[in-house]
Amino acid sequence: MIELNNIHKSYFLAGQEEPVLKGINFKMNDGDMIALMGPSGSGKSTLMNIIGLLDHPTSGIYKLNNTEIASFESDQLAELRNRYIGFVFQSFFLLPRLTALQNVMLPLLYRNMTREEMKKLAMEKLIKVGMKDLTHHKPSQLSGGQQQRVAIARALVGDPKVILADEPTGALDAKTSQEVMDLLIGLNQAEGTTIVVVTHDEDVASQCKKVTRIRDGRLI
Amino acid sequence: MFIKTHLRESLQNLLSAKLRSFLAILGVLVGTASVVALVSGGQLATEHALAQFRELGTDLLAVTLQDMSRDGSKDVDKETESENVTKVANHLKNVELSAPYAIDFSAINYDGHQLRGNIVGATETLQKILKLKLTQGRFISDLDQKESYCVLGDSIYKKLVSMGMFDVLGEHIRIGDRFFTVIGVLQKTNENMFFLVDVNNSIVIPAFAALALNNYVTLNNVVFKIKADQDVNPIKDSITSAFADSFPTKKIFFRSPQEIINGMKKQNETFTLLLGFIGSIALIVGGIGVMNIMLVSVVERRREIGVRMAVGAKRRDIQLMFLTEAVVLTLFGGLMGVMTGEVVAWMVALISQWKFHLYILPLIVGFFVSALVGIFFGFYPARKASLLDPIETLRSE
Repeated sequence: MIELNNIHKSYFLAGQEEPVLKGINFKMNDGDMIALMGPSGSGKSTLMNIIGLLDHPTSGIYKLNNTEIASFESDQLAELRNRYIGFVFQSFFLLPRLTALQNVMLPLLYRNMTREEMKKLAMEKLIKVGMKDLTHHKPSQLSGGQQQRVAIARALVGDPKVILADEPTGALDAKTSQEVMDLLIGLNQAEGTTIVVVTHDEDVASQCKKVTRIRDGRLI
Repeated sequence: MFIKTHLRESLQNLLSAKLRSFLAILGVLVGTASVVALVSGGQLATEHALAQFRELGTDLLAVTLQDMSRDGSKDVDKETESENVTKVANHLKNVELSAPYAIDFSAINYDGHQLRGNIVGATETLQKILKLKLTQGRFISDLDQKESYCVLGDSIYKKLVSMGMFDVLGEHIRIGDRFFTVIGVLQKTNENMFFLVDVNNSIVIPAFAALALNNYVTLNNVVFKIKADQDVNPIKDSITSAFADSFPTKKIFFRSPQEIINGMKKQNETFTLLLGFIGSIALIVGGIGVMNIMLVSVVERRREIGVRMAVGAKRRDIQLMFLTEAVVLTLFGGLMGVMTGEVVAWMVALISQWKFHLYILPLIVGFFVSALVGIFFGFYPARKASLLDPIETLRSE
């Protein structure tokens, strides 16, 4: 469970304070599937970075499982990201040199695991996203939809509490988009994985259980 | 994250950009190769020179007495003085043999032809000390006293043969204003730098005959053969004091292989240090090359760094990843450089006809220094990578 209380975030450009988030209150329960919508510049990426523990809020309270984590060091945040959060990006961000399997194993490299365990877990998730037969292909040999499936498997491999998907269908055509959405919805329903989807697409948003809109640094 | 995983990852990363990795290590390779080749080559050269000295015998000590007061010494009877030299030389401790000798450059004539050559007035011990061998006849004996006998060096003998003197033993050669009978011919010997003249181009006559030959000649040189495993310095001291008592006006000059070898060793150390230093410059340039490539690599792999951080890599994981790559690169470059360097040293030895040894020290030093270069020059790019902001690197195009 993630809870955000009165989160503010400002950037300082040439000594000038530029507020981006202006008091966000947001609660996410286990098993939620939330669409986060908003025009560009509304602060939704910043909010995602804060939820994803990549960025510190300027002020406000962030509670992960009822633990206040504002004071955590970057190493501790890295560990929390590794355990609790899975990222899915618009342009997949798979490492081009690595095979699908190796890409999925990536988060596990930062845990103390044997290579066999890593492979086993990664294989499981690849099967789950329907990529069983393409595990030894490199990203360049896969289609966009297939790459995003691998990316979702990578997000899932560490059994995170939350999956943060930043425009997961933004780079895909309508048909593949729907396949990816079906996959995410299926995960949410079958496994109870909490999912936050940032999107511009009303069609995508309508498939989520809840839609939250952000404008000018505030939720509406 | 295990170090094994780091190694595996870095190998995979490096192999995925083979040409670049090769270019990156080229500098380190050349640097290490030059350190190893220069240091090994320098050592081989010294070893070769030392071997030449050892061949002559490290147990020699050459002494020359030089008169510092030219006017006064003529009062002293030459023969008494020469006998004194012999006497003093014979009573030294730790000396196995001593051979006093005189050098003269009187004119040599045979059958109306003039010959160029040195006259050596010697005693019979000279043969043993210089390991002279005869092809015909016998060497000078102490029993010969002032007799007009002579033994021919190899070059002189060949010259005489070319002048038509076939049966040399018993023939007469004029030296100065006296005739000498040939009693022996020496085999060709290597030139010995502890003997003042080239024996091959000399005619050896009895010491006292030489003194009688020319007024200026004295028995002012001695070659000593010191006892095995004796340090040359105490012997030098006792020679100095012994001669200082008997000949206060003479200055003593020493030459010994031990001294020269020690000098050469010292020189070699300096030389090796210098060569190593020159090679190190190449190695540092190579290290800068690695740093360059690593910096480019960090910029190109910003996205990867961001992704890794997002999925849970700590800053030190990123740092370690790039550092491992740099070290693997330079170690590999170092390994190839060490091998190249040894091959170069081997070829130089082959061309110069030196004996080749595989020196372990330059290998180890070359290898470890290249690893250190990797750590040193890999540190900055790795640090830079680890300090990247994941949000910055993950921003969509």
